[in-house]
This record gives sequence, structure tokens and C-alpha cells, in this order.
Amino acid sequence: MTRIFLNWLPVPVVGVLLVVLIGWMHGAGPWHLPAAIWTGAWGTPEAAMATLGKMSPLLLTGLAVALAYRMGLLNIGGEGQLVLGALAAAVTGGYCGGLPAGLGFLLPLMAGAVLGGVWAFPAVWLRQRKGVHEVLSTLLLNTIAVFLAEYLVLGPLGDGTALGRTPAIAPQAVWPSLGAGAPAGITAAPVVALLICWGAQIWLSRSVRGYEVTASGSNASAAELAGIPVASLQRRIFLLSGALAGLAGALEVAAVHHRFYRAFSPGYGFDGITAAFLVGGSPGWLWLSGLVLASLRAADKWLQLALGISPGAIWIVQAVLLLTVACRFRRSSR
Amino acid sequence: MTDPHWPEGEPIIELRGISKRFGDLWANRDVDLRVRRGECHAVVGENGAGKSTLMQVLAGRWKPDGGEIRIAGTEATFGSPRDAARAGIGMVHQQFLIFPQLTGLENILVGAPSGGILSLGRTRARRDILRWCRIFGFDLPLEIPAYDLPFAQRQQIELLRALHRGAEILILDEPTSLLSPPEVQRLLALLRSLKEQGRTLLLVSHRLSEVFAIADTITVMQKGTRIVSVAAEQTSPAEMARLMVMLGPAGATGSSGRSKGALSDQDLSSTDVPPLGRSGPPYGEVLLELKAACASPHGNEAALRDIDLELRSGEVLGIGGIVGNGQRVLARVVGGLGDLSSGRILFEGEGWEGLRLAERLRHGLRWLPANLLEEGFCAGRSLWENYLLGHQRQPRFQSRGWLRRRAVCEWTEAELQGGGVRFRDVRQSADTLSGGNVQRMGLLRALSGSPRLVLLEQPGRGLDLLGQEWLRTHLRGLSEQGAAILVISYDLDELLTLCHRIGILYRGRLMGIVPVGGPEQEKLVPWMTGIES
Amino acid sequence: MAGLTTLFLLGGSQSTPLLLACLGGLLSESSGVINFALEGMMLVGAFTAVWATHVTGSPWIGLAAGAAGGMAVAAVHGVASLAFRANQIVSSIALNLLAAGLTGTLLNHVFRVYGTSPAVSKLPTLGDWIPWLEGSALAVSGGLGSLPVLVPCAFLASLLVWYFLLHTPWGLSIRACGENPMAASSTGLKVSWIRFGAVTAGGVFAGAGGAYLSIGELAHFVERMTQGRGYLAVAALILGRWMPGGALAAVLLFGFAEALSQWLAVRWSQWPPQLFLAFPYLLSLTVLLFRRGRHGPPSALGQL
Repeated sequence: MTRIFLNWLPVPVVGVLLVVLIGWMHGAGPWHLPAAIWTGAWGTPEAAMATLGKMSPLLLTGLAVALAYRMGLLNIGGEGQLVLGALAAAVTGGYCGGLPAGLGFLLPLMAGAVLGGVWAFPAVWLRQRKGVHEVLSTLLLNTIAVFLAEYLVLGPLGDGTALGRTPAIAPQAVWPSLGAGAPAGITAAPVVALLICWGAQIWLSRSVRGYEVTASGSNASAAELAGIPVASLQRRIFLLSGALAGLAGALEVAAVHHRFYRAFSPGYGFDGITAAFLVGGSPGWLWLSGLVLASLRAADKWLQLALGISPGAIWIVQAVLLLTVACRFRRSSR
Repeated sequence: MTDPHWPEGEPIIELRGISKRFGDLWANRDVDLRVRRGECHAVVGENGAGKSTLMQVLAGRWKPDGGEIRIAGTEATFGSPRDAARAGIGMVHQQFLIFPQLTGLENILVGAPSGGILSLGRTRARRDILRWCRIFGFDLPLEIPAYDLPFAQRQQIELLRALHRGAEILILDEPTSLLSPPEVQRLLALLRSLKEQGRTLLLVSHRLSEVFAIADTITVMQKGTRIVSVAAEQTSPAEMARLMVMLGPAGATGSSGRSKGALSDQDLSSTDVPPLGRSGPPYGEVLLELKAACASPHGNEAALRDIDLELRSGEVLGIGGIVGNGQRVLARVVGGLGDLSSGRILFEGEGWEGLRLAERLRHGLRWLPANLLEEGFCAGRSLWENYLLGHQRQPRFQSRGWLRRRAVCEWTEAELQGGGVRFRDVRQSADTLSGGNVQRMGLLRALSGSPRLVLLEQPGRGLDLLGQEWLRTHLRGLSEQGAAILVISYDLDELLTLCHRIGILYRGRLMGIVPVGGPEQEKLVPWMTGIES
Repeated sequence: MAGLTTLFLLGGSQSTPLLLACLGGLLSESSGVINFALEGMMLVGAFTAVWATHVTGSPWIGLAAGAAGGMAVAAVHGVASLAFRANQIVSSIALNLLAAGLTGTLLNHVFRVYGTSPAVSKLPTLGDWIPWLEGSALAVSGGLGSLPVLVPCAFLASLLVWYFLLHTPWGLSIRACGENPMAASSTGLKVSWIRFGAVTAGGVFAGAGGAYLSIGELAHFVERMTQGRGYLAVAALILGRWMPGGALAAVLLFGFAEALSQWLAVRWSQWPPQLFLAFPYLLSLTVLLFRRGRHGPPSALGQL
């Protein structure tokens, strides 16, 4: 426990110091920026709901990264998988008009997850067959996915306007708002995402398969000698990871935007990496890093309006937090 | 320490009161050593006696926690291997430190002082090195990557690296452990010629025959302290063997009261240990059978060619040979990670081809890999998670796909306690265990329950004498229960103490199998070098 | 003919930033430190180059500042991965994110604009130095004279890096650290310092590559102007099997692919532009399927 504490202690310290520093650079008082972030993210009920709404993609992309990392794989392709998942959900959702409610509800989500998984496949194939590191291939796939989605949404899959968007999805596919009257009405999506994360945590730590995943990620050859089918487990987990990122995109479409736009993701796929590593790749704690990142994200527009700080400042905070957790501040045991 | 046996002569190396501690463990405690110029000084002792640590202190790898080093009469402090190299000390390491993708020549030139910063001076260096090669009769290719070179040539690279930097004092740490018998003879001849050139040699070894073939002075170490130093002609291998394991007053300081009675005197020299008992067949029914088995090479390991062998219930079969002659391929074939290209593998008469490792585990196979830390161990995970590896699919540890963690933890705790592994809590991280404890845990895991077929690679690695004794007892028990045990080791002495029968692999072929203790045992050493008799 | 000349010149100028970044990656990874942070080093280099040029008015000082900017990012990567034993890939990702955020914020802070900086003076072109190039036969459609001087410099640099890595003692030490750090330290090399030096030197190259984008090709900084070139440089490094010659060949392949797609995008405007934008990435993903030669990554890449 002390070890975890010592390793994690620098994270909030560095984060707060940095936020204060950036505020000071912009000529604001030391607590101006933290206060502004708080106001921007949680100051009004609308803001709080918007912040909570950002939780679901962060939780799911974070889980995508964390799950693959348990298996010893780094899935940096969340962005591409999310974008294509969202596009698939938006397109499928558009055709759900005549379907029974339950099916119309599930089909877009499944389509998103499937396409996310499909987009993850080349990376794991390249790794297993050609020894190409998955970080490189998923990065390249991200760029290709963004261009592909842009082409599709401007051309064949667009709604005919020059706005670069798909038609709105059918009402059957839309997640209903929980709170009445709120502008960006909060849906059950964050709760579902949270339950998925907790479920994943329980599965990883309590099931035999989860044990095998952890062992394979810790030492693949030892796992192989213990009779664990490492290669096929790697494949399955990586596809699952892609599917989770795709599902994140699909949920965004179904619960928030109700259609796919050009430049759909504000970098949720990359935020997932930060979210996962901030809590040491432990799915059960993703809600914490999800809250931090969602607050930062939700506040960035407000910062620009209130303090004239460019949204890039949020990335700096995020990057420095990530760098802090990547470092090991304790001497190794040997 | 006054010692009647201190050899006369001007010392080139003088160590006074060297101590080195790793955590709670004293690797060296107050060690004195004097080495004369131009002699070959052997340092002998059991595993963990502190020989290697002492040599690495001398080579600048470790800084001693106390004591002083004097080279040719002046005090020296070595902050790094570079300082030691400047003082003329070069070291040849046990596991041959090479740079896999650099060529032979580049391997020798790494870190060497060169003409300038703009050029490696390859041409001149090559000329110099080729001259060394001619003198010593090395046939070393200088332009191909080192990963293609056999162990003997990797050793030559390390030797040349030291000589190229003008080393006058050469430290050789277990230089023969990976060499074949003729290669050993060649090395000994080379060491003699180096000595004639006036170089000082420090030889670390536990093989007394080699030590007596070359050394002028022998120092015995035990539990981190020096027991005695004597001229080689004034002693005998038997006396040395007795000293190496004697639990004298000096030894007792290392670990207090480690059950003296457990080791009787005749048990002590590893070559004198009686074999496992049971004189030859009949054993039980045939469990494992290989028929004309062939398999393709794996890494640097030779392909298997036409292996025929039978392993019966209750039998311990050893497979020996020099590193790289196909032992690992054989292990993979039996374990189920490698496929046969032709031939058959049968277990209780049923074909095992295409049967995955997981299913073989269910049939009662256990596998202790050669390099436990790399291939059998999840560092950073808890003890119970490590101990469960390979057992995780057993019905008693799960209910409907969910782990029964309490059952696993209780089982792990009981087994580890019974096996004498020192630990506090099964939830502690596995990398808190020492090397010997890790090996014990690996063995316990492989031998746990009632295995039918046990595959042990290098089982004695890192075990002290007590551990080896424990392993012998444990294997005897298992074989009496009817398990078939296949032991693969590069150490023929180890196989001789553990096995009923021993076969030798040479370039992927099984040269033959002979019972231990019989007259045919003589054939084993020639077989290792491919000489049929 | 004129079209082919254009293509050739375009290819040369597209290859240059990739080549510089790839050389940076080569230095770093030869010493055994994974470097996915080339993207961030380039971006910061591009920004500091514009900044310094804006302040001093001299693009040469700008180039130096670009190199220094890349070096600063590399130094952070070196400290994180060597002193704090960070996961080198995670550290790289964090630094890329940091570079994107930092340059965006500073752009706003220094120039009071979003998106694109005001114009600054450019590095000279070949034509400025060697006037007769403008009038030569190659002068069709812009001509050889319009290439920034950094283009031949980059190719010269690749030659120097090749010689340095393969034929000097320092180069050998760097490769030794990447092959087997334990053996390297037993021969007396100070592994951590050598690695740190190699990583920061690599940052100099990547930063210069970024400066080429901002003050060599264009004359201003655009947010996220590197557009994944740092990742392409890593792909080129892998494709070139971590050897200087192979990396050069891979960079030329990517550079000319990019030039070709730009060239074709103009000619085949009925095709979707995204296809041409994605072409270099698709190509690099495809060529990663082909592995040639036995030379692999440095044996101890990513290990401490």
C-alpha cells in the first residue's frame, strides 16, 4: 500500500502545482485557474451534466487501453476505433426506423463495437505475424480512420448538406434523457460505462480467464508454459479493446450527438491513454481519472472565455500528469 | 588473518578486508587475498560462496562496502569497470557478455581506447587482433554478428576484449561451464600460454579437476569468507573438496547453525554423492515414448534428429550434452510448445502430436523451465499468483470459471511452508524472494500434487547443497510414487547424482542412453563431443 | 518532363523533415531508448524556430532554436526514461501531448493568435546561395533553386550520422548500449550518460526537422503542423531495420509517396482528397508487411 501511495502521491501534487503555474503565467492569482476549472466543470447543473456526459467515452476508451495493457499490449488506436465506431453507429442508427425498440437500441451499439474491433485487428495481426509494434500500427490506423471517416461523411454517407455530417439517427436508437429539461440531458450512458468498468475489474481479478490475462501480460513465456493460449488470448483481448473504443464512439452518437460529425472526437481516444495510466491501468479506479479528465475537458471552453487561456493548457496539464505517473519515484527493490 | 599457507612472493593484487553486502546478505565478509605476479590463482567454493562477487569487486563492477584493494603495491579504488581496466584488470564473465548484433571485431573494440574520436581504427585493430588469434590458434570470424557465434567463440571475444585493452591481470569466472571437453582442454592450454607470457590469472571455478590442471595457488571460499589459500602442489582435490563445504567456525558466521548434521562428510563433494539408488530396471510401464522423432531447430538450438527414447513410470532419465545441442528443442517437444516434423510422441501409448500444452498439463505433465526468472515467473505479481501458474485450470481452484482465491492462497501457503521457502505472506510480491528461494518455489510448483510426467530443465540452478539434497529426496519420493521424470541439464555431475539413466544429445542426435553406475558410464563424456565408441 | 522534375523536387523537400526526424530516432533507438516522441520534438522545434526568428529576425538563429526546442523535449524524455525509469512509450505519448498543448498555448501567449502564427522570414533557398541554379535547365516550375538549403544539408547529415554510428568509437559505444547495457557497463561505458546524450542529440535532429517545416518550407507556424510526420519517421526507422542506409531508403520512399500523392491530388482532383492525404500512412502500413534482412531492432531496445 505504501508503495502505491509513494508512486501516486506526486500526481496530484504535480497537477496542482502546474495548474497554479499556468494560471500565474496568464497573470491570474494562484487559485484563479483551479477555481475557473471548478466553475467551468461543476459550477452550474448544466455544466455538471455536460461534465458527467463526457465520462462515458473517457471510461470506455480508458478501459480499452487498460484492458489491452493488462495483456501487455498498448492500444493507442482508440481514437480511430472510436471515430469509426461512432460512424458505424450513426449509419446503422439511421436505418433503425422500422425496427422494434429494443433492437433499434442495441443494433447501433453493436455495429460500433464491431467496427472498432475490426479496426483493431490489423494491429494485432501485424504484431503477431510481422513483429510490428502495435503502437506504431495503431497510430497509423488512427490517421487513416480519421481521413476515411472524413471522406465518408463528406461523400457517400453524408446527409447531402456540405456540413459534413450524417443524417440524424432514428428515435428508436436514441438514449432517452434521465433528467427532464436539462439542455444536454444526462442519459444512463455514464452509468453503463461505469458498470462495464467495474465488471471488467471483477472479471480480471476474480475469474480464471482474468487471471490468465494478467499472467500473460506480466510474463508471456511463463504464461505459455503454464498452458495459457497466449497468442489467441492476445488477439481476443485486443479485439475486445478495439470494440470498447468503438462502443465509446457509438454511445456518444446514441446518447449525446445523435449523428456523426466531421471532426467528431475531441481526442477521447488519446484521453483514454491518460485515463488508464493515471490509475495504473486498474479498471476499477477509472472513474477517478475519468472525473479528473472530464472536468478538465469540460472546463476548457470556459477557460478560454473567462481567462483567455487557450484550450491547449488542458493538454499540458494532462500530459504532465501522464508523464508523472509514467515515472517511478521509488528505487527498485534490487 | 594469519595463515600458514600464504604463498611467498611479491603480490600484484592484494585485497585486505573486503566486504560487500546486498541487503541483509553478506556476499563477502572481511576477505583477504594475495595474488603473486604471473601465477594462476584459483578461487574455489560452492555456489553462493561469494567468489563471483569478490571478482566483480576486483573488476570494478561493485564498490566494496569495506576494505582496500592494492594493485602492485599501490592502493586503488575502482569506481567503475573502466578504472579496473586502466589498472590492467580484464574479466571474462560466466555468461559471456556479448553484443548480439555487433560484429566480432566491434564486440572486441567496444569501450577500448582508440586512436581518436573520428575513427575506430578498424584496420589496425583487426591486424592486432588477428595476431592474437594466430598466437592462440583462434579461428574467430571478425565480420559476422556475434549472435551467430558458438559459446566458445563468444568466450574468445571476451578474452580478446580484455587482452586488446592491455589487461595484465585476467579474471575468468567459471570459464568452462558452457564449453565441451575438448574446448576445455584448448582453453586450459591457452591459459597456460598466457601465464608464460607473464600475465596473472584469477580463475573462479567449482570444477576441481580443471583447477588442479592449471592453478599454482588455490583459495577456498565459503559463505562469503576466505577459508584458506594453499599452493596447489601441497594439497589434493579430496582435501579441497572437504574444505569447500566444511562448516568451520568461519563458515558458521555466515548463517548461524544451519543444520550441521544434515550433511555428512562423504556427501559433500558433489562428485562423490551416491546415485539415486535403485539399480536399473525394471520400472513400471512405459509412460513417454519418442519414436524417430525429428523437430526443426529453435533459436540457436540444433534440430532434433531421429530421437528414440522410452521413459517408464518411476524412472528418472537424464539428458545431458553441451549447450545448444537440441536439449531445449526436446523440452519444447515434450512440453507441447514445439511440433515434431516427423516421428511420433506417445504418452501411455496415445499419440501426443498436436496436443496443446494445456491438455498435456491435464494429463499430468509438469514443466520446470531452464530459465525460471524469464520463463516461469511473473515478477511483480504475488506469490500465490505465481504459484498457481500451470495449476489454474484445476477444478479444485475454480467454480464455474471463477477463481477460489482462498483455496489457492491456503494451498500456496501450505506448500511453500512445507517446501522450506522463506516468505511472510502469500500476497507479497514474488520479486522479494531470493534466487535460491525462487528456484525452490519453481521446483515445488512443478512437483506439486501427483504429476505423471515431470520435465525439469536445469533443476539445480541456484540451489545450495542443502537444496540439492532436498531435490534429490523429493525426486526419489516422486519416482517411488510412479512418476516419470525427465531431467535436462548441462551439468553431467548433476545428472549423475539425480538420474537412473542418462542419455546425451549431440547436434540433435541421441548418442545413446546408459544406466548410471554401470561400466558404460565412461561413454558419456566422449558422447558429449560426438565421439561414438 | 516538367511534371517529373516537380515531383522530384517535391519528393526531396517532403523527405527532408522525415529524414531529420528519422535520424533523431535512429540515434535515440540505437542507444536502446524507444522514441515515439519525435512528433512532439518536431512540433516544439517548429514552434521555437518561428518564435526565435520572430524575435531576432534571423532564421538561422531560428533554426538553432528549433534544434534546441527538440533537444529540450528529448532531454525530458531522457530524464523520464533513464533517471525515472518511465515506460518509454508512455513517456513519448505524454510528450507528444505536451508538445501539442504547449505550442498551442504559447502560440496564443506569444503572438496573441489562434491556429496560425504571423509570417516570419524563411531560411534561404538554394537559389539564394547559388544564383545560377535559377537559370539552369532544372529551373522549370520553381526549380532546384527554390529548394530550401536544409534539403541538401539533411542528406549530408544522414551521411554524417551513418559514419558516426558505424565508424567512430562514440557511435560504437552508442550501439553497444543499445545491444547489451550490462555488457556495455562492464566494459566501462557509462550507459545512462551515453543514452542520454544519444537521445538529446536525436532531439536536435528532430527539432531541426520541425524547423524545416515552419521556417524552411513555410514561413509561419501552424498548430499541429507536423501532422503525424514524427510517426512516419518511426515507421521509416522500423522499415529501415534501424540501419542508417535503410532508414534513408525508407524515408525517401515515404517522402516521394507524399510528393506523389500531392502531385496526383492536383491532377486527379475528381478523387477524394482524403485518399491522397491518407496515402503515405496507408503505404507505410503496407510496407511494414515486408521485412528484409536479419538485422533487427537493437537487442536491448526499451530495457534499462
